[in-house]
Amino acid sequence: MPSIYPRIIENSANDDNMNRHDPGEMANIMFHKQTQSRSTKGIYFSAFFTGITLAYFIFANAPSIGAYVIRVSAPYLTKSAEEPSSSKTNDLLTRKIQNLKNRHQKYTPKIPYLIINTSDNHIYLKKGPRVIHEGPCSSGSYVVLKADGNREWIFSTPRGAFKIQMKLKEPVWYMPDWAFIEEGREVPPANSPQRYNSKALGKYALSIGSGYLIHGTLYTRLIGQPVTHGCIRLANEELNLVYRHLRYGAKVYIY
Amino acid sequence: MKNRISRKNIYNQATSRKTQFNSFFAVMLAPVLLAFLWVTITPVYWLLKEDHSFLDSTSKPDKVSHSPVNLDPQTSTESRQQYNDLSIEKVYWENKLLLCKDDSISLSIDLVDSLILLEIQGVILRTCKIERYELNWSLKYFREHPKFLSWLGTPFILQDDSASITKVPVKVIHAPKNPIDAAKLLQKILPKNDPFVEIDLEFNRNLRFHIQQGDTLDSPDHPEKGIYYSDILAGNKFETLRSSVKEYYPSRMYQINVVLSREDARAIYRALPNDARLALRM
Repeated sequence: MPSIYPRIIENSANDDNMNRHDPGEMANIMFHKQTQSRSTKGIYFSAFFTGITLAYFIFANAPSIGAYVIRVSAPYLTKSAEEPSSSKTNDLLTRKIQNLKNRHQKYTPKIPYLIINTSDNHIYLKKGPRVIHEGPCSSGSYVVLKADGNREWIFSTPRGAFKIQMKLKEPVWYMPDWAFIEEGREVPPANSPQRYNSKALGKYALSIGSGYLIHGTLYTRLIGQPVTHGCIRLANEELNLVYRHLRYGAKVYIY
Repeated sequence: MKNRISRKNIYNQATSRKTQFNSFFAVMLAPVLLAFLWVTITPVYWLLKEDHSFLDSTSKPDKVSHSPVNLDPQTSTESRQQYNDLSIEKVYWENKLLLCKDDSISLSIDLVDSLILLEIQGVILRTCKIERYELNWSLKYFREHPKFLSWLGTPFILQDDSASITKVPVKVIHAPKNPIDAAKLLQKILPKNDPFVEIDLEFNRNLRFHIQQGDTLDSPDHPEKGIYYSDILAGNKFETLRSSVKEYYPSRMYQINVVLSREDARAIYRALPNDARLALRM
């Protein structure tokens, strides 16, 4: 039978089997050996990649596996506990937690209070955990007004806990210098009648200290925008409710 | 003669197949075994080496706090888990009571109920629903560590913060010369839209809290996000990025990533004072 693998036969001339078999059969065996070696390499590669893929999945879940290993091994590997866990201990802990929750609840004012969100310009009039009313407001614009003579003002609303210190009906605003400078007007003398404005603050005003007021406005279209000089402006509906519900000493929280 | 050789050949082939089979499994199992050993041995090593660098002077002393893991191996896992959860909840409420005495705005993070609360003097100012959150590897491990309650024991204190939005959106305006100029100024005062909100709050005891807005997370309408990331790479955020890349396991930085609504994320960042305190439950 004529060989179709002359090179292989040539290479395996020293093989023992050569003396016993015809070259064709030998060539066949060698061909199988080489094919086998090639396929073995392929198998090893696929095994390696399968292994790597599986290892990847193990690493992907490593946080959960590791946490579980720690949970299981910690009782054996670390020092003994002072307080053993039992249903009794757990009940005691539950009671303690309830007690802490009750103590925490006592911090919420019993009388109506106001929460002002300057980030979204929104107010919440609340009593305990219940919301009595919510609506828009306007807070400080964060404008820094610079004028001649190195004079400057920043129009921001302070954050924190405040108390109602004064309640006014038909308030009159004594306009400070910046109110004129901001409008490009000439600043009048301190005792000038131009300084007094009886309409700008609306029907009511509530003072929270340091010159900051919660009051009404003539410019209702700007309610909901941060455009004030630090005070809180409310629309008529909200102003009436706030004035009616908040007593002297009632809390105002601004954030 | 021919038959004998064929049998020998078959035997050789069979032996070689067996060897191949064994080698196949050896090659396949080697990386799996290595991965498994790494994943299981490293946490145990970490547990044993007793590195308590995450505890500082503000941590609660050990003898005061309960151990989060009941160390009696005989007790059922379920009972132990319940005890741990209750101990953590107790510490959380103790911390909240401490924060009530503070006059500044504080943060309470309750990962069990997926809530973030802004509080002042015990009054809840804002309740934010967490859309989703994740803990990093270190924190997942650390939650099982006996020192975990000592770490949680007292409120965390804010050390540093950075964000894609400004904390105080200041606008500088020069006094107008006349009322006509003044009327034009109003347009400058009105706020513009904030960019994509992303906040990093770094507390003491290696706790990092990352907040990201969720509602437009995948929106292509926010090119600002890309700008922010290039800022990170180029600017002062490089250090943070480098440390998070270097954060190999088990790292000592305990990070919580939280996704909130845009308004909540913005409100939290702008409301928090520079030394804000935090009560954590997880």
